[in-house]
Amino acid sequence: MRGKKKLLSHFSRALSSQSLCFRPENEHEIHMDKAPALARGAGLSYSDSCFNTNGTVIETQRLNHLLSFDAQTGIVVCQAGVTFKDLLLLSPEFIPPVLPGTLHATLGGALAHDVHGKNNHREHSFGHHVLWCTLLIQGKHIHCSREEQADLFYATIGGLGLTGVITRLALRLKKASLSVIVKKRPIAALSSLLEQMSTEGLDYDYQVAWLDLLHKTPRGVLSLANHCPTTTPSSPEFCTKAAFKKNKYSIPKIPFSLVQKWVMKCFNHCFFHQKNTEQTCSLEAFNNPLDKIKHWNALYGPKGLIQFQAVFNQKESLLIIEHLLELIQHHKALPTLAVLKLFTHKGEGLLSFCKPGFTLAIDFKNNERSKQAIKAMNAYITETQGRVYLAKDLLLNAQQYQKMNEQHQRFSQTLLENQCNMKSDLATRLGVVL
Amino acid sequence: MSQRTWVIVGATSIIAEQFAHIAAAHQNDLVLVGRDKAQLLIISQDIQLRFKVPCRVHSLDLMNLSAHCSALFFNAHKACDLFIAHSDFTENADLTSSAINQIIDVNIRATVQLIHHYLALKQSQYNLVYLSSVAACRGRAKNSLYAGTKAAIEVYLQGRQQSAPNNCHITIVRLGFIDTRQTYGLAGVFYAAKPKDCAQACWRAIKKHKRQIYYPGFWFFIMSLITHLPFFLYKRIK
Repeated sequence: MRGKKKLLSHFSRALSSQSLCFRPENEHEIHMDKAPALARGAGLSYSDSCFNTNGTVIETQRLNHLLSFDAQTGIVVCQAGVTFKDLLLLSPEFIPPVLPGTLHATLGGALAHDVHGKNNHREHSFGHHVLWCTLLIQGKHIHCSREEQADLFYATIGGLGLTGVITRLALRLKKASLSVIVKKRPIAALSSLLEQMSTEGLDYDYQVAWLDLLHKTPRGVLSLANHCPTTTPSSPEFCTKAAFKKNKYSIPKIPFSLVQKWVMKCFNHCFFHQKNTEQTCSLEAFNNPLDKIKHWNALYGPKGLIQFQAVFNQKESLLIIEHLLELIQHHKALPTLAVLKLFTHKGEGLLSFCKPGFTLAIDFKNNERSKQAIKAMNAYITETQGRVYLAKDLLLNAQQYQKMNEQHQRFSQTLLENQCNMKSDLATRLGVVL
Repeated sequence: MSQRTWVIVGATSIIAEQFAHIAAAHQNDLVLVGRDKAQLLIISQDIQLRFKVPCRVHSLDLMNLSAHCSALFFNAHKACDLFIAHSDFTENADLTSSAINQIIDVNIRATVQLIHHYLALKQSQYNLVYLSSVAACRGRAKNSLYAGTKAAIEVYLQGRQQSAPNNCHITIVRLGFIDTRQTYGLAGVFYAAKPKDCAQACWRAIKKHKRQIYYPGFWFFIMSLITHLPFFLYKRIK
């Protein structure tokens, strides 16, 4: 099979990386030679987990077939290049139990990062719903599950694609409607927001808080949502039309950043003061509002954005958030978009990000000040026994990674024992591969 | 053009698969034809799950296509349309006696048999899309036998278009570079169009009863220039 040298980027567009890429069109064509390789799905992570600079990259976008679906049990078997959006076509009665911030992510990528949604308190993280997966390691297809090759299975959940090429997986979908009823509530004090998320928010199917960190006292809007009877048609014709629906809006590549402090202040002001009526909308509109705008990350200009996301202790959350904000101010970084969620369940994978606590995600313009701020925040999170999300991180070091992931040794040992011949820039940076 | 059966030959190619998605999205039944049965079954299962339409597979070696032609069409419960995406490719430099036989058998003999059988069916409407190549416009040193096989079918189809009644629509699609297995990593590919967009263009063309299109469209201008280039200049082009 012919390879192609490509300059790859990732969602945040902060980095680019050259690799020799292979793009199999069926599972027999997956190219594995002796050199360590990396499988890459949609390339939507913010970190360098989807890069293998000067190495081999296997592009899995065309291994995207749905293989079976049982409408009784909700179990779907599919290839790893299938996206969350594809799963919504299966049946109007079933949805993926965990939805990440974009529906364009592949299921292979979702398993490799054990992604979470706005409903960790109800549905845990993605890996919890995966029944089995097939890995290609050194040319051999290995079936892993909680019962069979369990060490590899738990290493693959949140394993950053380092155990092997995930070729197929079985996922249990959840019976729920495609519509939600959403309540939005502006809250002027952070302490009150945290309190409401820790109590009332847990009674809802989904909860997420958007934060205005540019206001003199940080404030937020809490969104709470429950599934409700669907208002959209559920015929096969509707599903097929949905499959070909194109984005109405698309941001072109702009040579400068449109994300400026005054723009964000205006946006935040409007968002905070929007009308707070209850409204019914599609699950997609509630969970993935930014998917409506194609290439919205281009708003940040050619240098892209950089994101910090960490999970930390729920009891000390107010103190921790206030300290993180101090670090941001100290380094004069500009927090453009911030989102707060609450986890109550830990992930099953050896390197899963999720553990009980609040998780705060903050977008910054990609510049030196932001990087310094994130480095300081990473150090602080390490001290407070928190954990940084590896799908988002570009700046953690090996010591910090080891301190915040208690099972890192077991993970690296599993890779060695199973001769997993995979590599990524993130694995090299953090010393994950021994 | 709904509620028919699209027979897709060479269905494991990405353009054919994308075309099958569009046909299925318009609630047509499908018959997928190709060599690799396992992959055909995967594509068929995927289409049935996405679009909830019947999708059969017919696995055969295209060298022996003529023997299977009847089975392809007669098993369909509805009137058939035909999408021809299969083709064999060997560069002139790699031709051997068996390679010559194979390229002619697959690209010409089997294709003509298929078209002949299809147009002989008794039905009220015919829709046929043939994926040709811009290579068919003028022979090049690199791949003129392949180009010749494509040109042969084009000329045959032009004759069928001339004699076609109003209910028979034949679209020849001259493809430039499309982002497929064949062009991936190939030197000199300055722009490769998306297979999904190509499939959409084929669908639009047959719906509008176009006789011939170029995809991407700018290849019309490139090929107009190349075909009109005096031979002494053409000879100098590598």
